[in-house]
Amino acid sequence: MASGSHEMTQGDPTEERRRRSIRRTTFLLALVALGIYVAFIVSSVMKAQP
Amino acid sequence: MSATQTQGHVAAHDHHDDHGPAKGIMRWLTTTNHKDIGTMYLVFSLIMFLTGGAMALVIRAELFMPGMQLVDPQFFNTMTTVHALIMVFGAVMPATVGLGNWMIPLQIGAPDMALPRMNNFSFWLLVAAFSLLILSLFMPGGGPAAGWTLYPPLVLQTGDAFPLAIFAIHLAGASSIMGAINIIVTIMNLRAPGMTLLKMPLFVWTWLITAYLLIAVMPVFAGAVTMLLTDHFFHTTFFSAAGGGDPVLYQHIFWFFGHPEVYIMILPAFGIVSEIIPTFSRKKLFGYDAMVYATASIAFLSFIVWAHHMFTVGMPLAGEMFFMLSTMLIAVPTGVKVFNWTATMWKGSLTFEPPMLFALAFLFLFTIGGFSGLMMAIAPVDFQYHDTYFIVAHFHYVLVPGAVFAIMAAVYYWMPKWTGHMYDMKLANIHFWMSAIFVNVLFFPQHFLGLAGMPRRIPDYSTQFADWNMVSSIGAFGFGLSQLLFVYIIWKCAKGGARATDHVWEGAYNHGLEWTVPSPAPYHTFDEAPVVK
Repeated sequence: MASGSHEMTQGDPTEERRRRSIRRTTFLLALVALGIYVAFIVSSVMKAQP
Repeated sequence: MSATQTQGHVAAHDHHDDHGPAKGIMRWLTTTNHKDIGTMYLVFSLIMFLTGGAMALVIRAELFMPGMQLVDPQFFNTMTTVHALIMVFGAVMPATVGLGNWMIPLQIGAPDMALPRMNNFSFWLLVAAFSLLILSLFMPGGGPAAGWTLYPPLVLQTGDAFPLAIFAIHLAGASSIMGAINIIVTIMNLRAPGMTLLKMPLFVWTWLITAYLLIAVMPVFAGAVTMLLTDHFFHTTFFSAAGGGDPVLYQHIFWFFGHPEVYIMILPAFGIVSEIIPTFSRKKLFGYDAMVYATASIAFLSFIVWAHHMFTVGMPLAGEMFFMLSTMLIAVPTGVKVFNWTATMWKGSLTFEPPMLFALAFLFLFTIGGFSGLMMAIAPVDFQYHDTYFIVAHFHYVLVPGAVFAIMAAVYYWMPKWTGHMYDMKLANIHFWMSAIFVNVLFFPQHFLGLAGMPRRIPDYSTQFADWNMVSSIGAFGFGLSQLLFVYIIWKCAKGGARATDHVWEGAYNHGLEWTVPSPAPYHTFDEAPVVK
């Protein structure tokens, strides 16, 4: 997780791993937020049947 | 994380490719530097604090005496609504985000936030959101006036301000979610070598948990206001009984967001107080692990207590019992925190500089707000208190001498690190005593008014409530004036003053990585990561 240097050097495998982890975590968290938003609207649609 | 020590050099501010900030307005528009963005969040929140405070003074001026004095009832309702929206989403939350932006990278030994461009975008989105919200006041039909909870069907009667206000909330929510993602990703990926999760400073821990709360509940609120929007413009009936919907459904969704929102505002405050009390007690924080688990427990419990805001709406007895007992359960981890802060001070070598004074006031006065919260958790008793000034007194004790005092404590604690200057201690002490006295003159009488039955959100009242309202309004103007002193102290410190040492406070030595960098903190810090033992 932490490598001893935060220098963003191209080609450094530790830095590459860190970048991938940042991208993955960002994507997952955004997906969770979007999922919750959609889930609450969908559940309200299902409840509000005339 | 008072045990944290570092080895190796830090703050490579003379690094070969180090560069300072850009010049002029473009620095602030395009910056991706966590310190710049933190500063912008803090300045923005101060402006919003003064704007929301001015609205509070309109409210208190109208309530100074019984009868209609200054504003019409519609505008009064607009003031209560927009004051709350501004203070919650524009002042307290951005202030804690600003502190997080400034301090989290410094405290975990990271060079910046993990997603710096998104950091810039989330700040400017917030500016757009609050510009829209404030502009909505000038729309035909007036600004939003249905209360910050935006309950339908009342909120659907808002004039042309409605879409503006809803869009503003969407933008502010998107900004918060992006900010939260950034904080989680930063903490999980950019900690210095050796900084395990249980070595992180409490402020970082509380922000990590807050960020998860934000991601869990902000989309819920966004969903609720999206449905309000479709009910208003596309003739859906999510919250209209006539079309098969249910207005109470909105209340459940809103409070499923709204109660964790309270903890979103107060958990970073817990983190700040957990940093300050050990420093000025010259001791390690008592029960670090217990504090972390207590924070996580409070966050978990915040999801299962929402309907205590709705006891008077009506619900099955089993529901009342569940929400009453789960609410009371929150007192346990909160008590752990209060006792641990007290135990940290026990036999410590205490000094009472302004950050410690504000932290101590937080400890006493937030606890008063906590106790009145426990009283309201009792369902049959809440039937009496509901929608009275007792509620107003309760949540203002939690949020003003609670969250706001903690934010002020943080500013006084870290400002020398940000500016490189010590501020005027004498003025800061005056600011503290004026704030601490007037905040009680302002809010304590509201307990009496509420117990006597005065309803909230009304511009006029029976003469029996006159005396305490007058006292409360005097307190409001005194508190408001005190904050002008706060602005002056910050401005004066930013302009100059005695030079601050690197660890600023005698007791801060060995109390965190932020004290290992020079004062003021260089534009770029930790280009080479420190190693935490």
